[in-house]
Amino acid sequence: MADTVVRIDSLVKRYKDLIALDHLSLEIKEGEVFGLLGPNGSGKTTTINCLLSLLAFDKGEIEIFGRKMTPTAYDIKREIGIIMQNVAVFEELNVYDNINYFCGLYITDKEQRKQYVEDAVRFVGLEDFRKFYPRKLSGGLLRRLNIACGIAHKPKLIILDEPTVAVDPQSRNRILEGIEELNRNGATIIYTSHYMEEVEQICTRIAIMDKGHKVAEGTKEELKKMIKNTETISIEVKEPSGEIMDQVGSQPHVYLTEYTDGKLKVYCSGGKHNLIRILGVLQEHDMHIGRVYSELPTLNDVFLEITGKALRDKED
Amino acid sequence: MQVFKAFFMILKKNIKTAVIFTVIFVAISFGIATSSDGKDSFVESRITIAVIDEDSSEASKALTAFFAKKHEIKDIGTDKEKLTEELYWGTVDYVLIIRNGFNDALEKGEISRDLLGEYKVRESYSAAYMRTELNEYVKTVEACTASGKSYSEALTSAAEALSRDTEVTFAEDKSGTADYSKDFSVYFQYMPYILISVMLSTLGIVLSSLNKKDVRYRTECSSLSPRSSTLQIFAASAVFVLVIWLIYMIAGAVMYGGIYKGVSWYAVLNSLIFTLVSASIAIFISSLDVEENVFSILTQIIGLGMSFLCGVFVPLSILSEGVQTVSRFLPAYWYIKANDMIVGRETFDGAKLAGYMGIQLAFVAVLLLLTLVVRRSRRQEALS
Repeated sequence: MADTVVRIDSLVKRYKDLIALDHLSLEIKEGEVFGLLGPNGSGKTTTINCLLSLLAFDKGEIEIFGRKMTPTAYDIKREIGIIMQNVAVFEELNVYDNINYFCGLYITDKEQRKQYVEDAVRFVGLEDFRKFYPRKLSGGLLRRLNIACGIAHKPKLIILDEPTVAVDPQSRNRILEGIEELNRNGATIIYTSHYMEEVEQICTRIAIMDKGHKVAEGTKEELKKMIKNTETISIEVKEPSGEIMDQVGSQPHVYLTEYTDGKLKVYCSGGKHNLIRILGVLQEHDMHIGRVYSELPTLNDVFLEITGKALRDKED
Repeated sequence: MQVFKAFFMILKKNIKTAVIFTVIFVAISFGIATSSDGKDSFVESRITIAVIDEDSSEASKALTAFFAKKHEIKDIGTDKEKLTEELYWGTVDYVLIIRNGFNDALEKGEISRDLLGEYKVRESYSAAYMRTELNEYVKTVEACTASGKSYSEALTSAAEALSRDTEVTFAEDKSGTADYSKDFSVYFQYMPYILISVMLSTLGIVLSSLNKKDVRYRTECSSLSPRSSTLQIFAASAVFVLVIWLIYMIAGAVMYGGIYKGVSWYAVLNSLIFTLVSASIAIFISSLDVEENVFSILTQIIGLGMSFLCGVFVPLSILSEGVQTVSRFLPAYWYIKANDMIVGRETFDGAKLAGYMGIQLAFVAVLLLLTLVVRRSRRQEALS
């Protein structure tokens, strides 16, 4: 069984009257890509700040690599890499010097550092941009530089705090591929985001947070099994009569039907051939059928069912 | 020493402004120190004019003679093209045309602008100057005629009255000693402006860059202790501040003609203290997380504002009581007070001088304390 890299036990963090983290417990195993998913203000970043000992907490315990994490645990910090949402580099230093500076905060041996910096430059594909200053780099290249600065010292635990916010789709994919490669190279990853598609794509295990609580934890399959909904069928059709709605609603495994915006939505929990049965009912009544979709539940459905609200803000 | 090295790498990118400030300052100071003979003098300005006398009368000749005494008169003919060309090339500053009928009109006291034509460079100082003199002349002739003098007497009297030199006396400044001359003290007097400008445009920007919220966060997450990071920044800042101060002191020594002597050492000490004041202003502003362009605006506002209010550019003795009351709350005022005492504008009193320097050091302490408070609150804000 893999070793535990991070163990958070009953963590409580208060900001005056606001409870930011309420008895949060997590365990992250070596080699995992652990997703910390939750809406803005759910406590993800506070968890990370406590984990890094940048914030004092009111109760609980944090262990990293089996040792207690404290503000002066520099041997532990040496093994952690952090990549934030904002690009944190010096405008006055070129690509190489920026990576060299941040790597130098961990690696004091000059020769070793030189090698590490070269490895990081190659890893993010910035070989041709060594002498470029950040203002001359495109948004995507800047993000790569940001990642290189966070991983150049070859950390065993990498924390990525919403690294894809305001990133174009192409760069986003490249970042996600990079994270997967880091994981394949042996790093344990903690990935916080409110983009559920990303978390679904790369995370091996996920904890969903809301208002400082962990509301669910498991693999994405385990999380989806926690909820009633297993399939949502949407059919473009003229508004069905009450009788048809009743017939559709009485089919096995159907627990909810609704008609909105020219679509009949049928929510099912378990069972097979739900779509065939429902289409059969509509054909019996000579209903003209347009497009038909069958969707499996997403993490948003999980979050919606557990907390009663959407995971992602509409503007996102 | 990663942070220490990064400090100087970032500094290298921002040093240009400091070099420009320093070169200009030292060059101007050299100019003042070497060109001044220590005496104040006043010379009334003379301009080059051309007069086209179309009237050729007693009055027009008297007016031409009057201007000949006060200015250089150049004969360039009457061709309009030639006149405008001369004005364009600046060989004459103003062309006066005395039209036919000037004498009669002046005698009757009915002079009008049409009788005095002109070619001039638009909105030039020379034109304004000449117009004032012409008005004065005409009014004086009219006044003399009105007082009962004959027309000829009036012309002579007006020319005499207006030719009298203005008596100019200078406020007495017997300051300066053999060890710290009045001219040399100007170098130290202007130093607050240059120190504030250099510190804000270099040290301030470097610290601001090192303290940028996201970069600081990344540094705090690293295995480098905050204590080590702060010490490295402090050491690099101290080296930079001392080097800048030493450059100014060496340049000063070159101007001084060797090693400082006697009371001039007090000026050296005073400048060191003000260098610390300037550095602490830069440190404080850098903690506010302001953008680079805001920094340059602040450099001008603080540098020029403090210099004008505290007697750096204008002697304290000329500043009003109201201004001085305000400037007492600024460190440059106490620097200038100390400099004035060292040069002898104020009776030398060791205890008072120490007091002036002590007040500057108190400003340093307050600014550094404020920096700590701001940094702490910004850190809390960033993490919460």
